[in-house]
Amino acid sequence: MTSHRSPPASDLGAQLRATAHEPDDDAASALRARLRRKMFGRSRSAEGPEAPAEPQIEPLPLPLLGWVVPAVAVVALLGMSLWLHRTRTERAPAPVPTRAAVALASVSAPQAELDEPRRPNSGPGLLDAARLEGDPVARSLAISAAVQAAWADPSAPRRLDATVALADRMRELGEPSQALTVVRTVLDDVELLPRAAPARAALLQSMAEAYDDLGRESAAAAVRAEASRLAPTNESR
Amino acid sequence: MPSVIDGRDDVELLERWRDGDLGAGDQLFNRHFSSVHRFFRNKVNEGALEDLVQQTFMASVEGRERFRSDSTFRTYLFGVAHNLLRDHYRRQRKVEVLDFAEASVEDVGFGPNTLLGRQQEQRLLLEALRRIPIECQVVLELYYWEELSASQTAAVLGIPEGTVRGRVRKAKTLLKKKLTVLARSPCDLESTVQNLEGWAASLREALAASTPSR
Repeated sequence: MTSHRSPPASDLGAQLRATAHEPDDDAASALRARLRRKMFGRSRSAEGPEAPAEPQIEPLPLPLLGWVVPAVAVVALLGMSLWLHRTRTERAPAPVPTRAAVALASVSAPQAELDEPRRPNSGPGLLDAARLEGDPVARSLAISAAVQAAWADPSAPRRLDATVALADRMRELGEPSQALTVVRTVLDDVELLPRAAPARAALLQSMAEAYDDLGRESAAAAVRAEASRLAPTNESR
Repeated sequence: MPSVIDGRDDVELLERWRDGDLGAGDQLFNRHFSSVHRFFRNKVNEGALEDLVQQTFMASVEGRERFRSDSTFRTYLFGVAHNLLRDHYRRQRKVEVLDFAEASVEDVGFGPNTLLGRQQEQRLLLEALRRIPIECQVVLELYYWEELSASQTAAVLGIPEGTVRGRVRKAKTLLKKKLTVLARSPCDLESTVQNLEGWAASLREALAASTPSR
């Protein structure tokens, strides 16, 4: 049996050095790749340096973003449900749409579940109109519907607007973490596009605001700085 | 590896990144990712790791004006990482002052991300590091893992060079004690000590094989 003793100090130094220099394991490699995509728009398979991306708008391809739609919808409905649950407990006499009504808010006729059917039911005006809705419950429903409508439209700017609007709504509802989830979900795919800097900047601004709400000032500053760098003339939303 | 990195190239890449050259930023990130990742990995939870690594690089390019040309980019980068680590702990603990001279990573309440070392002896050492005061852990890692000189370590931590040397000695003494306590059996401890040279050789080979692709 070996005696129980402390290791000599000189061996400790060698041991420390040896422990440090392991190549990246799988988790580290995955993180390295993820951050390269996030920060520099590198493709998943890219290795080594490459030419910088030019900041110009490019339509976001449907297949790339297709999977995001259900994710956004689920998160949206989850946020709505949380909000509605809170509303029920705080505003007893007010008529509140049911969870089923939220789920049924459709692309073609979003206002069918709402009190005021005066908004357009399609096109870019839908989201703007939804934002102007006075009643908080109706506004949530309208934004949810507008987001779904936006995702049914192949026009990329509308999709991005919808994502940002949804994140804004989550923050209004006191759910900045969910706002972050929404933005990150879309950002992960947008970042795969080498020339989508303006889109990334808009999403990063939204992310910074969510970080603000979470009290994570340094994260907000870092993300905001990245957004400003991507689109220097882009004003804070 | 730090030794193969040309400091002037780092500065040039930093300048180009600051001017909007994402390729330069990517190159700089790729060079230093492992060091920054290693700095945080044994100190914070998985959830914070990604944010802190990213923030370190973003803050380094945003705070370019604070980079002094008489230091290396690595020194500057570790300084940024160290400040972010302090902020992170303070924010998580919701206290203004956290004494890095007393509190260890374990005390602060952060579990390890994963057991980093694949061998029992390495796990033992990493666990022991997490149980000594944070300022001791940091100084040992910078000194031994990152091979910074005492003066460079002093620049990172903003303390006199003599203090660094004293802190390294103190940290090694504390680490030895923790290792002794942690070794679950005398055999573990003996193996930890005896296999050092073998690990060093195998890790150097692995590193040499992996470096050109990075």
